[in-house]
Amino acid sequence: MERSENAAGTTDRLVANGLVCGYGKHSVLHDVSLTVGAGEIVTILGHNGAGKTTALKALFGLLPVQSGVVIHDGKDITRTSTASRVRGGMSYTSATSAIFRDLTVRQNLELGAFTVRDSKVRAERLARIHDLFPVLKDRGSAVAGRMSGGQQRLLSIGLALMSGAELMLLDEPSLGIAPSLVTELFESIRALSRDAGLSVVLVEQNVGAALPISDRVYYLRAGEILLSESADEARARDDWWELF
Amino acid sequence: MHLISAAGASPSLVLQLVVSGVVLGSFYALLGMSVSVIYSTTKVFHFAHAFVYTAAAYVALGTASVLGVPIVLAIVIGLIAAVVLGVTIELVVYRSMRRSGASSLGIFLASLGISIAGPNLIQIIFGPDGRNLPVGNPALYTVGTVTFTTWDIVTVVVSWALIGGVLAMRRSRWGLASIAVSANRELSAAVGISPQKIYVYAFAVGSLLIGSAAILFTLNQAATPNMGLQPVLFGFIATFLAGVGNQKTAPLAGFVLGMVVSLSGIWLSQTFQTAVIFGLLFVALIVRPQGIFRKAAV
Repeated sequence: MERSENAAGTTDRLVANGLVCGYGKHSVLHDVSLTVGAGEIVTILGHNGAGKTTALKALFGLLPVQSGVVIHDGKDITRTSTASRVRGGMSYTSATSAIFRDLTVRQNLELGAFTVRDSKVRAERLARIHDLFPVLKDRGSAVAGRMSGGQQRLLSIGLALMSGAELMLLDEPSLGIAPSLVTELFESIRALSRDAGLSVVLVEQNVGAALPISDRVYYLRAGEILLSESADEARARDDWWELF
Repeated sequence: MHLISAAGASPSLVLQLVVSGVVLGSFYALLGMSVSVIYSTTKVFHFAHAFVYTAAAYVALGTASVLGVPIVLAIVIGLIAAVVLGVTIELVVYRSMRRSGASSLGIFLASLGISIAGPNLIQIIFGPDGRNLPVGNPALYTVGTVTFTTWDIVTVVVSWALIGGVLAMRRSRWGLASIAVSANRELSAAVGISPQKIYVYAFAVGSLLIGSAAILFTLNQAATPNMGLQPVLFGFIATFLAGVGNQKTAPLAGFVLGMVVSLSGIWLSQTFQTAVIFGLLFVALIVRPQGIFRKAAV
């Protein structure tokens, strides 16, 4: 199996090559290739309908891939189930339904660790998440859907961390939360990546908030990756949208 | 037959109706739990549940009276048949329809088809006449002016034991997974739960419950090929009264339903039972479409 090296010299955590994917006969992604290194935050930018969410779903196995390969930690996972990707350390946080709204915060976190059989590991992770986001401990028995938007987002990150994810696919984490909280949320994602080696694929409309925490950026238009560059280069650019 | 009885019903009649209400209510609670387990998780209008109900009763009485198997063993075989049938319908019919992108209406129509064809098959094999489970006559107990039978006690105890068992299982890994699937299917898949497996689990549990209900029914009354339609309908009504997706309160709604039906006997003749049930559903859907109970966390 082919292992590619990224700039940092470590093995890429995720490699996607020539993904073609869609709904029914209608294909949305025509040619998507990207790499994510360990501890790296990669942001996919693009218009509505460019296929950003579809790309995340394809990487996570929620949509069958018509052609192309997905390699996770050196293993070809193109045809494996979502459940086995979760066990392999991948997580996906949807923009619109990232938590179980009708269940309690505690039940949500328990479900995050559904694939973890060892109850000691589950307890350790829960304690770590409670340290990271104390509000999730304080509001453990609250119904998740009744919390504020910001708390719900924290819970969605907590849910992903409970699975032991080393690679998070985050779809619009800033959606529906106050601007001041967006910065805070993104800072904690950056911290997780720096301290725990978490890799992140971020899809975000809020470019201004996403770029400062990103290492690299991919531009997606009409289902094709147009360009990839470092986040510094992207920040220097003031004409992102002219690319499209 | 009187349609409206005297306003001043005797206390002994009321007491008897309360006791009958407890028995009927427990039975309806079991029906409600059974339908709710399947519907809240899979969102399939599983009308073929009626066939599973009928099949459980006929397999049990068939193995007991035709093959001469001991009655307890025959009942166990009937329950196993119910589970196998329910799971088979999910795997062979619903799953393949879902895979080929069938709408929920399409799946419902297929289910309705099975609920009609299945009983016809039973009628071809066993004939249209009522058949009894060879269990003999129950003992009759009289407390004051109230009478009840061994089967009444069995119905109440077995129904609540099964309901309690299912509710207790909600704390298990599988139970939590099925709560998750019923709350949010996509997210369940994202945390690594396989909804396909949970569907099979829901059909197995729901079928075991409906099969048990069918056996309890045939302790008292003759089985007929079309016996399944009404209980499944009542199970759905209990599910909707409780508020869809609210598994915990579905048995409670069933119990209320049975109690109201029984107590309506103070004023109304038995022939109005079904009208009372649909009347209750009608009023509840207008006044409290979210369910008759206060909404709590799932």
